[in-house]
Amino acid sequence: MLTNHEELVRVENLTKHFSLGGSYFTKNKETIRAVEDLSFSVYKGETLGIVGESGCGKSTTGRLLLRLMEATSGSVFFEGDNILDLSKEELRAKRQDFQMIFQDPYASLNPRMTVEELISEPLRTYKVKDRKDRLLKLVDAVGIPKDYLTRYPHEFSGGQRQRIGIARSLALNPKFIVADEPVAALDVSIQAQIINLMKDLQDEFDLTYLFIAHDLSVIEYISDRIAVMYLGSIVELTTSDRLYENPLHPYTQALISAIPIPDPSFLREKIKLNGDIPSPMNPPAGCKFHTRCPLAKDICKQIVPQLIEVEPEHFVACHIVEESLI
Amino acid sequence: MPDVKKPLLEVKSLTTSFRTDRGVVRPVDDVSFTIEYGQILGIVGESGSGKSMTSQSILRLVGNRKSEKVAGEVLFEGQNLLELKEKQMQKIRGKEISLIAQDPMTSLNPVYSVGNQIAEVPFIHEKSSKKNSWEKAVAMIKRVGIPSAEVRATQYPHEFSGGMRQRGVIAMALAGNPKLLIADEPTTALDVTIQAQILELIRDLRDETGAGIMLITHDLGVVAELCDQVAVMYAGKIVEKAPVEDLFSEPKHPYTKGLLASLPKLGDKARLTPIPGQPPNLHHLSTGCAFADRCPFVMDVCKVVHPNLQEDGPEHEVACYLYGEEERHANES
Amino acid sequence: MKETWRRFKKNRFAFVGFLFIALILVVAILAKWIVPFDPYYMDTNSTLTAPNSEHWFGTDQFGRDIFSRILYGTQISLKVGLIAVGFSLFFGTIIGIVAGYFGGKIDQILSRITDVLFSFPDILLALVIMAILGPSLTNLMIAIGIVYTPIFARIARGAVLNIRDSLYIEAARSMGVNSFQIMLRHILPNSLAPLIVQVTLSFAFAILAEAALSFLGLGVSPDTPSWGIMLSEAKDWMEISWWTAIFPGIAITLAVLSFNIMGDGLRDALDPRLKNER
Repeated sequence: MLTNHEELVRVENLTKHFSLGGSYFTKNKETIRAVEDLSFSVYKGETLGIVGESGCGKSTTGRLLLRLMEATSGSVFFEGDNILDLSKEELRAKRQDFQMIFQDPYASLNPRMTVEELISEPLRTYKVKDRKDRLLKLVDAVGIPKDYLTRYPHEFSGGQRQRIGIARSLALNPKFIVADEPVAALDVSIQAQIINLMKDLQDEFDLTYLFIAHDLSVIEYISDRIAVMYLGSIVELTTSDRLYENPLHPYTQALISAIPIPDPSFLREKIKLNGDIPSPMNPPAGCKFHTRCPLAKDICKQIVPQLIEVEPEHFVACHIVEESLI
Repeated sequence: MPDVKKPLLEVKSLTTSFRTDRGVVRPVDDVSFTIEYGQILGIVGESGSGKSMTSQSILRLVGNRKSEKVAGEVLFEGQNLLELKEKQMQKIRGKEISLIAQDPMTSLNPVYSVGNQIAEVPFIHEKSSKKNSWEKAVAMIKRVGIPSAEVRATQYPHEFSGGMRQRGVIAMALAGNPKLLIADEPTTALDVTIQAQILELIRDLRDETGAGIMLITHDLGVVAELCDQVAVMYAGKIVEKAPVEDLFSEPKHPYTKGLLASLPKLGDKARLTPIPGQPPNLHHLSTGCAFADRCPFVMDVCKVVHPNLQEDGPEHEVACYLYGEEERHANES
Repeated sequence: MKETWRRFKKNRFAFVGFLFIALILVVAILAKWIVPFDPYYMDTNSTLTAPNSEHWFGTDQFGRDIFSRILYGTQISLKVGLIAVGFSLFFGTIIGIVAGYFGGKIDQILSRITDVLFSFPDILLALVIMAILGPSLTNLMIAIGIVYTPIFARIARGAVLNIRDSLYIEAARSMGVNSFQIMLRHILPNSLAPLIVQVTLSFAFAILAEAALSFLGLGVSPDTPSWGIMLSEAKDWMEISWWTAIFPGIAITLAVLSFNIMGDGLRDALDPRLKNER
């Protein structure tokens, strides 16, 4: 790793298994392996994107990092403290430093609270002084007119609601923000407003983002580095430029070639992936991608590939790539 | 028999209005377009633009209540669907015109096997025997690329993955050999790699069956990949209509331009240029252009009278005072 | 709130119910001043007189004015309704929210207790409680309150389960808001609508239960002007003087009906799914 990057968050061997059908009467619990043995770091001031398709565990990862969900094993170090070991009180105190922006601005705001109540809730919870002052600064920062403070969420459009959600998550001056698909529910013409806003706020408030999305163009645009997830594991992690210029993992390559490009004159060879994403309930042995991988060999079916650094700042988990290096 | 001279579908001044507590709204306002055999027309727009309501109006899925009204003409092979009795319409739906809806889970009935649901189409519309209908269903399932079709046909929707379900829905839509397919956001609920598979399937099917397709989507990338012609909708009206290459290479309407400019492009990290403001509220539309208050080129006339859709270049129509006849009008006044 | 009121007013039927309840309330407050006769005064010279211009609803076996007693009866009915329903609303909501929010063992225990209470027929349960507590107005209200607590607990629990996993609760948790604040500020206001509807419906049941228990002699003391007592006493004279039973009966029916239709109207008006309809 480059030494000039200061780590804000370090994730080590993070694992989350959900068990299904666990009641008093059924013995055969099924396990969903949502996140498996993840290790990565988030550097101070950067935007780390996590991209992947449904069931890849990207949202679960975000929630585990903020301990909105208890991990099965592993550690999450935030400025040196393992968040997963903190007591309830310690965690509550720490929560000021890491916040979340949610996907659905319609569901993540209590419909019976006014904008003012919504944004001052975190301030009140942490007994922040000069709340009104801070409140006005926040709405100003996210571009909500002051005379809208007494209105309710349903009076706003999706984009404005997401602005309110962002103002809330900024209220306590956090250092780290997990944004879970923050623009996925918005119209195309509004997405760009919110993305620009998030970039501006990052500069203004020295924020570090973990940006989770399924839209590759959005994630490429906003992220400094990107982790590609497939069925609970990171298959490739590198800078956003390199990921698009030189994707190494066959899944990343297929994913990038599948993006519909809004330009009919843009011709390219598409890498076709056959079949569907396997269920995380009983994921394939070895490399989880081998069932759909055009390059799969015997070794891929048996041994789980490790995430290795194939060039500076470029990590890939693939036997084929590994072999080609030798 | 298809009448060669007449287009497959010709929609003329389609207007759908709802009476609500807060006045009359027109989710579809004076919309006209044609779809030829074998052509894919993309209808693009954001939420509330009326794109889905247009398809529902064509299929007469709205307009049956007192508070709903559908006006204009929907000529399907020359026959006005809006004048048909509900009974006649039922014969057309699913047989002549099929719908592929966004959410494959809700378009399949969870208590019947997928094969059964597909077999129902030839069973009802073609009066096929049970055995023949079932065979047709299996053939259809095979056709949409689901492996081991015989087994899959006996399974229930919950045993299918998302991508498979959408294939099942497409198989059902194709079972009646429709001449027109209406696909309403067919890949929005799907993952990128699965979306690529489904888009390819739709394109292949068009080539093979020669059916016309009306593709409703918010995704300009999908439009660019799949469509021949594009109509851009905003606040219930078509604001621009063009062959797909022209629309992307030479967008005319400021809304279309704004939409294209607001998309992040791969490998380009320059600051995005969003369309300012919020999407319009159909309850508070002015008589002028609905895009006027978000438009960087707005003129006085835009706020008063809505511009008509006018030809500006071959097959390229735009509803904006910056172009053609309308431009001169605006300059004169 | 404004929106709810507007939609509620649109429902004429429910609005009439609301007006009648308002009327009952006004009568209960002003009863002292508007009754033509003292409801306790026994005029031995005119017992069981049929309705006439002086005694609009006639008199009972002791010569008491039935009209005045019915007007006074509103006080008992509303008092019982208010206190009994208040009791069950308060305890039921707390039980329901706690059970629904925490889930697990706490939920199991609380839900089983309410299930047991729920499995008894209403009146039977009230009778058992009254038998233990002894007959008095206070005990009557407590008994009715206990009987209806499980209903509120169930409704509150259901509402909580609906919203417990919603994104805005998770958002609040992610901001470090504690459980008590989440219950008070997020869960309670969002589960209020079904509870309000149940309050009006239970009010009707409470009035009926008070009448029934008083009829059986377990409620208020026999000389109290309660609709139930009046009906109970009238049963011996009904054959020769119909008015002793008919008027209290009508009063009970109208009050119960009003609360019921108002409850139904409120349910429709508060249902956010209907917001975009029409």
